[in-house]
Amino acid sequence: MKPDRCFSAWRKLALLLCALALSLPALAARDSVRLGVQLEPPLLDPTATAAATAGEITYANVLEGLTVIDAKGRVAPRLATEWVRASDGLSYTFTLRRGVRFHDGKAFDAEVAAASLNRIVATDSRNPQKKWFEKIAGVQALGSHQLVIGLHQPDALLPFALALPAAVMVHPDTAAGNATQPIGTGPFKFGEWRRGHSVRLDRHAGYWGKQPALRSATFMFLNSSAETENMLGEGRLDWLGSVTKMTSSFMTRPDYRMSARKLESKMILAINNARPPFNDLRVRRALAHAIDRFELSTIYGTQFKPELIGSHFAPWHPAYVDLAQRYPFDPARAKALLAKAGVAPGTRVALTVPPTDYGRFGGLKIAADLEDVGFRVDLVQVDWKRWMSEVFEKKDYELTLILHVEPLDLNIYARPDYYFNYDSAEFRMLWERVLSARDETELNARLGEAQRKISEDAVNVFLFMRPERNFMHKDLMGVWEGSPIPSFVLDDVYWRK
Amino acid sequence: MSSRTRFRLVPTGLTARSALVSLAVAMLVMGAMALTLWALTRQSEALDRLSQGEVEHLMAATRLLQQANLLDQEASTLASAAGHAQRREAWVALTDRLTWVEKLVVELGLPPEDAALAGELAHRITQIEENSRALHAAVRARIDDPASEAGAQAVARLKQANEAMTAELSAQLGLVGANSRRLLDAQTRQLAQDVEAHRRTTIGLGLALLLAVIVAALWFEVNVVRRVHLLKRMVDEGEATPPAQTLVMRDEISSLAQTVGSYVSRIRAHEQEMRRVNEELSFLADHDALTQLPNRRFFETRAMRRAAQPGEPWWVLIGDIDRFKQINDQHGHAIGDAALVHVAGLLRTKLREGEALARFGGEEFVAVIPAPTADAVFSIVERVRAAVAASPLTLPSGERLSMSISFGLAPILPAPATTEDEAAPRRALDAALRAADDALYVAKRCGRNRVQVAPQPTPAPTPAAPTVRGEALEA
Repeated sequence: MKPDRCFSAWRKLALLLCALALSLPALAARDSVRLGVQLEPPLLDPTATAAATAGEITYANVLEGLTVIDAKGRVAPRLATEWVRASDGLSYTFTLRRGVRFHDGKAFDAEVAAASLNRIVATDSRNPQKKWFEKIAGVQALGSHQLVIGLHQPDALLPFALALPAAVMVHPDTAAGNATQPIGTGPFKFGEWRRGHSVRLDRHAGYWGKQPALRSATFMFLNSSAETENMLGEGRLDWLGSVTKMTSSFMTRPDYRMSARKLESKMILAINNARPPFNDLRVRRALAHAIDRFELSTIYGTQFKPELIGSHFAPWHPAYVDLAQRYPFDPARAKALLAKAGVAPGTRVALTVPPTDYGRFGGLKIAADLEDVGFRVDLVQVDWKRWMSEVFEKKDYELTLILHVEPLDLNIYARPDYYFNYDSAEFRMLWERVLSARDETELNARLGEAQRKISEDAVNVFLFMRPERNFMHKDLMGVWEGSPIPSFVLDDVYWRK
Repeated sequence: MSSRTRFRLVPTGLTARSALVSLAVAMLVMGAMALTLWALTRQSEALDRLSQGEVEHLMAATRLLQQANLLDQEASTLASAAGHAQRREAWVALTDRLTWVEKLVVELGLPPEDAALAGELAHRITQIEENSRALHAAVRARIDDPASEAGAQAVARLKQANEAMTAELSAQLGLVGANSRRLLDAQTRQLAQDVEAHRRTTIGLGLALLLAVIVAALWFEVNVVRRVHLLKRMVDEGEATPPAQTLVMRDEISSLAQTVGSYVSRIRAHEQEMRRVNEELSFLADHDALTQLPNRRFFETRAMRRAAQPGEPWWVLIGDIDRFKQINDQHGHAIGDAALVHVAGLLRTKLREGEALARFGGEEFVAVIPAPTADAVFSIVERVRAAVAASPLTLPSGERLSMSISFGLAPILPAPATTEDEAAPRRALDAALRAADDALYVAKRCGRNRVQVAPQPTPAPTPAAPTVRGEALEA
């Protein structure tokens, strides 16, 4: 064979292999799945960080709670098989599931459950949802598989709270290590965390429940819009949980489909209420008038019509009060308020944005709006770890564009040390009234009052409900589309043949 | 004996040897298969590596090149931004792309030998980053102060620098891509070579296996089949000594050969014995046990044969021991038997073998004698009579018992030449015996111890007119 003919033969083989390789991932992906998430959590333990992505990865997959929010959004048994509320409402008795083991072989029993819950309510607890469990007076193990939770006051939301990612069951021996190597009771065990790249979970053979169809799942961190576009375009992602600027252009692809998600993602321009000039109510109200929320909501394309909000509450909740037009878009009004508050034109303000699609492109629009009313804006793009540490923990920011995804999280306004630095005794009182509501009507009425309060105080600029869609390969089945918990539960996911 | 031992741990038996040979062949086969499996696994792994590794690598390199080229465009957009909003937009897009390019470089996963190249790439990107930041600041400054010449120049300069850097980066990335392609080629070629090598090995193994099978078959043929054939021949031909080939190894066949040999010897011995017995029986069928003389039946057969011969006429002789009953009564049957034997012995010596002497029953003897005339035969038999009379029997007591014998003689008349009757010789013999018997009777009547010849038949009278109606005259 002549040398050049020989070489071309290798070329052909190489091409064949390329073709094969391109199809191989598709062939190989049938028992594994690649999931795209925009934010890499600082830690993988949802009981130790408010970053929702920690839960997104581990909820119901690696770590399980006593209860779980199922595919239809209802509270369902998980590590507890049933629970009984005492007639006076001051205690719950949970019956725990038998034969459950952690991934390292340790047994799950009432002692472990009690330790887990006590860890949440401890005084030095760093649990992000500690507030939900304030009413707990004590937790006790009764025998090996019975748990009694005593309450100061009745709490109808306790089973729901126990289904939150922050309330998952951990073993006291391994709890500290969960930040980098979560050990839970779920159908998948932690595989590998490649920083800046991905987290892989592998199916756990010793799971107490039904074996999942998938053998492994990889959560890939997309830290740039360019990357997201490329991954989607090349079909290297099987699921993307958040709508992005380019989602609408991908909607026409026949190999992918979209379905609604029941998340409550509230897009807000958070204001550091303690930092001048934003400690002035007029300045805050000026900000609210300055932002063209409708224009902002078009970053996802015209197919989506996100609902504008006027307070920190989801419109589809029965207690919702429509305050969206409390501060209509009015740059002139904004300038007037600013002048009254003594903010000179050209005042520099830093707008910190996270490394997400909305952060980049939403941030641009807000910066433009703010500049239109006289501010000089520094658009500060930070990575997620920095955002969590500087904005969330150290509260070292002025304005930040962020998405709050937890359902029914109005209670954060009752925490004076929350990163908004909103310290209002009145609101706290209103919240107390909410918690002690005796029935649903009262509850909804009081929730309405709370919403009005934070709107009146213009604590933040409430923008809109981000449209939430599952964007996934058309052959991917069993996704829990109706869950309000930001998560990707692998329980029932499988590939259609 | 070792051949009787049931459980042999020492592998010298045929079963053990055959098992060993079969095992050897089987192991060769297994070995060949294992080798094939190993090679196939290796090749499949290589293919995996190729597709997951090299191809991915090539694609990553290509992707990176694409993105690097786009960087330049975005820098241009930034440089030409007229207002802060545009500036910000361009900056967000540029930083977004830079973030990804950085990630792609990390993910490129260059091999250790390309560490220098990886370092260079990272360095260039850092440079581009810094330059971009400077560009961004310059653009911002220019927007704030559009009139400034210096500002515009700064922007232009930084933009050019960016272009240059991006071009260099692209070139470098092109090199990475080319390397990747070369690596892919090399690995593909390697794989093809592996496949070819394995193919050759498989053929070689196949031949070796074939050879092994042939050798095994030959071994089997020589050590088992041939020896079994020899065994078979041993049996067929009744060889008592096993051929050397069957004994060459100490195993079941050799012990079988020895057993067969011993059986064959036994069979031969038995056969000999049987032959002997047969002969004896045969003898006894035709002879008298006591005197060892042929018996009557045998005599008749022989006599007829003799008589049928052309030549001298044959005479039938019947001899009867005189006063034999008296001897028996006086001296007992044992002496009587002894007397018989004695007389038989004498007759045997005096008569020739061709004369078919036989014991005719009781104390009678018979023979056929060829003689030309009655006188000739008379003198022969007379001598015999005299010999018997002259040889008394010595009894155990020492007493001597004198004995005598009377003879009757008659000729066997030849059958007329014209007849072809098969029973004619028989009739002739019977007639002669009857005539001899009559003669004997005469001899006894005339005082015993004498020879009496039957009167000769006169020649048939000429057919005169018979006076007696249809009756033959008897002489």
